[in-house]
Amino acid sequence: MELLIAENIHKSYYNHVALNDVSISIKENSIFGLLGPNGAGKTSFIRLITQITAPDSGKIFFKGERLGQQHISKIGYLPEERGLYKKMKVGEQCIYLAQLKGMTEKEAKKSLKEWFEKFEIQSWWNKKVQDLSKGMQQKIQFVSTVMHDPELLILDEPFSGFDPINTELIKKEIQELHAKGTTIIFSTHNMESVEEICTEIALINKSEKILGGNINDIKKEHKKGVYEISFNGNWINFSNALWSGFEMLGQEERNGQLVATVKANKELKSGDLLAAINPAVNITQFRELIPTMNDIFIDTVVNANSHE
Amino acid sequence: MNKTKIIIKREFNNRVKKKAFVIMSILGPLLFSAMFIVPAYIQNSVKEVWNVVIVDKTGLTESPLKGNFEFQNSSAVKFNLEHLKEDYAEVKTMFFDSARHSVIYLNEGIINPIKKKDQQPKILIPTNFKDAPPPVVESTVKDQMREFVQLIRLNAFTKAESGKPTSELLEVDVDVVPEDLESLNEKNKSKIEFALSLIGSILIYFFILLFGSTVMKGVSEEKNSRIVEVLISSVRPFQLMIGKIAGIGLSAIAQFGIWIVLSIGVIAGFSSYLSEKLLSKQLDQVSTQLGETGQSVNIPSQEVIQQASELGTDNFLGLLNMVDWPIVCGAFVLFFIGGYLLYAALFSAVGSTLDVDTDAQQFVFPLTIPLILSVFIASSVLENPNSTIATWASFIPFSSPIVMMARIPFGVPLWQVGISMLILALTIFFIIKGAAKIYRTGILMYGQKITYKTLWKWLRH
Repeated sequence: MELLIAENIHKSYYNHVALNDVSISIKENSIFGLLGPNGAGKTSFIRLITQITAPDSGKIFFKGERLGQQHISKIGYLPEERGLYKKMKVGEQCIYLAQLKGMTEKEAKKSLKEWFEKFEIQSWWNKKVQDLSKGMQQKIQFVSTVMHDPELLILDEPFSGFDPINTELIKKEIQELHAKGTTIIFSTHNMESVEEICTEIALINKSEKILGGNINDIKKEHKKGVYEISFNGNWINFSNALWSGFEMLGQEERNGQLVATVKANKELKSGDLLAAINPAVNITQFRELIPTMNDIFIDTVVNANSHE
Repeated sequence: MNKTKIIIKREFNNRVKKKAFVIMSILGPLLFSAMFIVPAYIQNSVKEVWNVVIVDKTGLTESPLKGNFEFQNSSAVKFNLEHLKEDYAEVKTMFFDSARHSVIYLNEGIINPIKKKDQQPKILIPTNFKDAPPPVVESTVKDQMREFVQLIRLNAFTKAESGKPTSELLEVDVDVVPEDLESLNEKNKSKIEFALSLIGSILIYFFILLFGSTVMKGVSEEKNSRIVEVLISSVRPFQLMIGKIAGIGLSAIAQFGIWIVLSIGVIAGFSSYLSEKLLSKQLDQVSTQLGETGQSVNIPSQEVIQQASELGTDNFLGLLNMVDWPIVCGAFVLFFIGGYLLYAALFSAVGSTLDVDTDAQQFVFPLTIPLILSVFIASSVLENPNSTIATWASFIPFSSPIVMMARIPFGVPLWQVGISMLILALTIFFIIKGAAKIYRTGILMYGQKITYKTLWKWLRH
């Protein structure tokens, strides 16, 4: 079932168009990657979901209902630009933010205690935010985003500014929340983390969605039929064995082994390539090179831009 | 709980807990009470000797009836006897503009028991004089005059008749009757009006500027710490803005309340100290007089005490009664709130345009200009409360809270006050609407140059 559906969203500010006919649907309990270069419209889209702004046209549905004030308490939002009241005490501040999300003071205290115990940061309760390190502040901000137990968690560049240890910690938390049923929207340029975490993505470029769907499907679609073969033997035998329809892209020697990169025509499958070279050389390793999300991102964006 | 209430609560608590708030709460009343106490103190610690001329047409001051009574000079009062035959009206012209401090005119009536008011010995206070006599002078003069009159009457009675003098005979109602009571009161009244006008308008200016800029700083802090994005994903920008304005406004009212309570406390404490001091001084005087003259004068001690305690407050309270307090206070409260709301809304809009990155402050100064102008106009009101510029400025909502407040103590037709408030209320409505539009765009705008043109576009968007 879809947790969030955005249909034909238009949003323009007084001097530019931020989103142009963007439709995105996000499955319940998915980890959804919202990708795109800087200024593409990701934050504009997020601000529509968090109801900071409203679309000029188009509709947004949350669990089948038109998105409205009643959904605010079900959404948690960690903006890219983090910020807390510097002079306010940590505990007080988190409780305040949770109250604005609709929790009672009592509920907020209870939830905050649990989170603080989990992160072992109980001693921070009465510290002022300005007395904490940046990493500590980020942790507090993460807690304040999730402490009201949202159904939809929106994380805008969640790992920027985190040290590797905290990044791992937050990743673990994201996975845990996901396991508990939370839907997560992940806005980032960090393609590695997308590949690691996300199940679905949408790629926004220049106010328009140019790519979207299941991450594995997208990867399959973007496969180019390139294989890497390690073998014992010699290059002449190997290249002679290639039929027309195969093209050698590269050859190198790695640790005493010869490694060839071969591109196959669209009609040809991996079996065809194996059948061709197997008699000629002694294959030690054979694998298809699947494009990384990074490749797909760059390809798609560059393509889209060159079409203009 | 309603989210706006949660915001108001935080804003209020946040301000009230600050050191600056506590310091201001203590310093304010001290300054205020100093404004009342210092003049009062100066008045009561008389350094120069007060010259009192006793004009005696009756010759009673020379007659044997007085026994061995003499007017006693003290550290505060020096008596001068003048034996003139002129009538009161002539005496008046002779002494009125002179440098003598006070003139007492004795008429024949003093020998007889009270029948009519004008038969009382008159203690005249020339109106060319800047101030009414200080309480200590007044009490010394009254006491000696009462003693003198009682003696004369008593001796005249025992000479003429036998038997016991009636208590009526010894009843002497000495009163300080300034010759030109009305114009003296007018003068003092205008002093009070002056003070009210100044205090009222300066207070409103001060609170608008102080708490308005607190609102601005708060908005800018939220924007530039970027917490605002989290906040407005939970509440509407309008709720956030109104919550902040209301919370800080309530803290202003709380501060003001503390000021009033503490000021009253300090002033009350001081005046009870003052009247105790006066009382003991008086008792001293009475006893020395008794000792020196050897005459027993039956002044019930109860009376002395009461008199002494009334001395300090009598004059002041009388003057305070001349002010139309319900109108002054009511107008103050309404203009205080109205002025704050208007400017707080504007300050919050300006706060939303402040950007630490670009150091954009171009809208702060223009906003303080009408406030500063208002204070200038308000100070001109002290000279002429009904000048054209003051009248106009008391209708223009950006200056009316300050200027109208400066005018009201001098008396402004109620319809003018009403219309001014109505205009203010309407303007507040539109300004808040407009400010909210600028605010909701401004708080999310970083690193852009914001001009008046951009503001206009945001307003219309």
